[in-house]
Amino acid sequence: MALVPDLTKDIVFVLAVIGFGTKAGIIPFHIWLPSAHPAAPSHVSGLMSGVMIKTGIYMMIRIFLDLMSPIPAWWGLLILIIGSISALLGVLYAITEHDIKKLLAYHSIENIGIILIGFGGALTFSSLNMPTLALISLTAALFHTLNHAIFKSLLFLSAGSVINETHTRNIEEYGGLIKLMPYTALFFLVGSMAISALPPFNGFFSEWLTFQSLFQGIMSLTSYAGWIFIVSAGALAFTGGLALLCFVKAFGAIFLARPRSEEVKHAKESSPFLLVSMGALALLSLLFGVFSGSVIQVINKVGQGLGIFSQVASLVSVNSSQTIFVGNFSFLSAPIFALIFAIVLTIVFLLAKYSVYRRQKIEIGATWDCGTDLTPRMEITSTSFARSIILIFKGVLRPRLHYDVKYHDSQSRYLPESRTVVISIKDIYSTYFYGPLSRFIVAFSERMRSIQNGNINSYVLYIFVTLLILLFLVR
Amino acid sequence: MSMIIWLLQIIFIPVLSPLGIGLVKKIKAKMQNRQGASILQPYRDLWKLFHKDEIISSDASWIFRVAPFIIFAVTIIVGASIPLFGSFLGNYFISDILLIVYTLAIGTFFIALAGMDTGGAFGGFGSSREMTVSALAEGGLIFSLLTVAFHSGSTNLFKISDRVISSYDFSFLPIILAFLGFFIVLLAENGRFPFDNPATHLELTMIHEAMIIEYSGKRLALMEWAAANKLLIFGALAVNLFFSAGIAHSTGLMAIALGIIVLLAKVAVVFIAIAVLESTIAKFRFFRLPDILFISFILNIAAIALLV
Repeated sequence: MALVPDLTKDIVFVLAVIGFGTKAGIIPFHIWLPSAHPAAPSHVSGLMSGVMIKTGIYMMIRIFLDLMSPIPAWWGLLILIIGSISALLGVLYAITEHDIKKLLAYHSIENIGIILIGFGGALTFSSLNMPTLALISLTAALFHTLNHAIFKSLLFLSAGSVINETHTRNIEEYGGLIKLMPYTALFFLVGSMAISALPPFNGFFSEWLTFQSLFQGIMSLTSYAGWIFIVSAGALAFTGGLALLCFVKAFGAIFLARPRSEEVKHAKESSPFLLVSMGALALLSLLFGVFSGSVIQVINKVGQGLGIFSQVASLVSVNSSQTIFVGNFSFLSAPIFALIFAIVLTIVFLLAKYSVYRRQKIEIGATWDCGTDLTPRMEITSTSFARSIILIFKGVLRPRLHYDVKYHDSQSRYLPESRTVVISIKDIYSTYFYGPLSRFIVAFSERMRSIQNGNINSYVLYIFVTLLILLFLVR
Repeated sequence: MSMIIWLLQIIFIPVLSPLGIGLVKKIKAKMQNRQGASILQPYRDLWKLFHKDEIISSDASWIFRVAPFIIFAVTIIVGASIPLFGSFLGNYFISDILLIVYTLAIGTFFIALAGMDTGGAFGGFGSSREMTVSALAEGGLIFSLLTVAFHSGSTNLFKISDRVISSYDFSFLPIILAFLGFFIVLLAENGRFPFDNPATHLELTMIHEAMIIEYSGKRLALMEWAAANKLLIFGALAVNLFFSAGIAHSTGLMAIALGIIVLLAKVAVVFIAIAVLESTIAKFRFFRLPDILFISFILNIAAIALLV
């Protein structure tokens, strides 16, 4: 590829990022993704999120790292910036959503962003001739790709199982499903913990490795490249916190407290086949976390399979107790953490239960609500759960609040009959980019139509003019 | 010998954490011209709660029932995997900065879910506010720990506390900035002023208290104890990572005794600072809190920029 002129390579790069980025769902080319997921059945959504959008990532790795190397440094930095923006905005849009499948779709955008942060690091390091660090970043990106496929499929399957029973995708109508669908709830909880990067599930370890690649970048790069790595690490840190918020909102609104609609009260647990497939994915999510050391070693080999990394020794090493070492900088052991967690939890439970006041009586009573009737309206809704974060980020999200009060007597306006508050998020991409673009194309086509006027004489004229031009050109 | 030291390391946080809460409350009482309860009162409160019967909401699920055990276990694990009195206890397994941050997030995750589980009007809002604050505090927390990690060349907490800071001159500035950032996060994560009022039960403002409002008996005791543990964990991190002088570097009996005394003295200073702060400033309006948290993040960015 060294023979191809730089300008051509740059053009190919930009077009490939737009093309494969649209497939992967990077912001601002993501708008098809949140609309496509709700239209598909849930298991297909799982496949779309888990496998299909990853083809974009695969092609980017193939083209930029394999076909086009050597590459300039700004490519990797641009991918890092795109990844950070997609991760942060993806999770912010997910927080505003109350359609369960759109919420998960926006989380796919967030996770594609995290994968691209890893991949952007790999590109930057390989263009700056630091192949060891590039291999770590690529391993992190591939590991997160694999993990996202597992936990996102799990989340889509459990969301599908809820939708099947309740016939709605609106989170605000769910509630209390944990008592009616206990296994689905448990599997959704596992998926939530994995996607929010809580140890010992798999999401944590790939995010940890992505963080490590950024830390290495911050330590070894100078000037603006180092700054971009710092900002990406910041974006990743905030993304983790916001994803946790989003899944507390989703799990709480779907499964906890009391049902908010009649339909939900009749929900039953899904069929054993669905439960087995969800259970298998949940188990994988745990195993890929606990044995992340081995998984990382395998993925490392995959990375080394790529031509430019074939001779590169890895900075990540794993010893017999599954302790992962990143150079001399970071270490952790997933199985030991999981073991300690299990042991401490058991000891705490047994001690608290049996060592003090064994005769303790547990009474079941209604939640106290200051003497008013306890209705589902007392519970927090997902919209109000997310309201404070939406208002904090109102500069980015552009929410619109609309208050409406109806009065019994429109003259005096003392006795309100009903109040409504509508909070909505404007889709800035459609309004400011895709809308004008489509209007322009339509207007342009309208103009072009006047050429095609159905008159034989003018068509003969076109042929004649074309003939003249061609004669001049080939003369 | 090493077994005893490890046992000391594991029980250190849960045994002493109620004392920390008692100290803060006592100082606050003095500054309000009150006599105040004894600084041992939190122990008596825990004892009392452990011997009470419980009432659980009929709407609550198993999340509500297991959450206190998970949250308490999380603080025990984190408490055992951070440097306390000796930096020689270092291990490669569970003392990574990111692992600590995300393990603490498990606690936040379950306390917020438990708040929503009973379906009352208070719990959900407490959860929403708690998650908002902790999501925005995450950046400051990770980056302040990252600053000291870069300073010492490792993300392992024991290695960070093991480094000897030779000069307290201008090169110490990033550590000061990162400490300020960390202190803001400490206040946010533990629900202290100006983020939350730990003494309030006013529905309009409470955050942490709103989430645990439906708990009683043993489970409430575990929740309160876990909160106390978390405060002591953050206090110990604040002194051991940023001002690690005095920590025991070897297993001598004298060194350990000195390490414990120095740690207690340093943590006491942090707790006195918290108590004085709580007596002198008012709680901030909720929508001003993000500003403080972003200040924490920016202080840490500046610290890292000075370091690398």
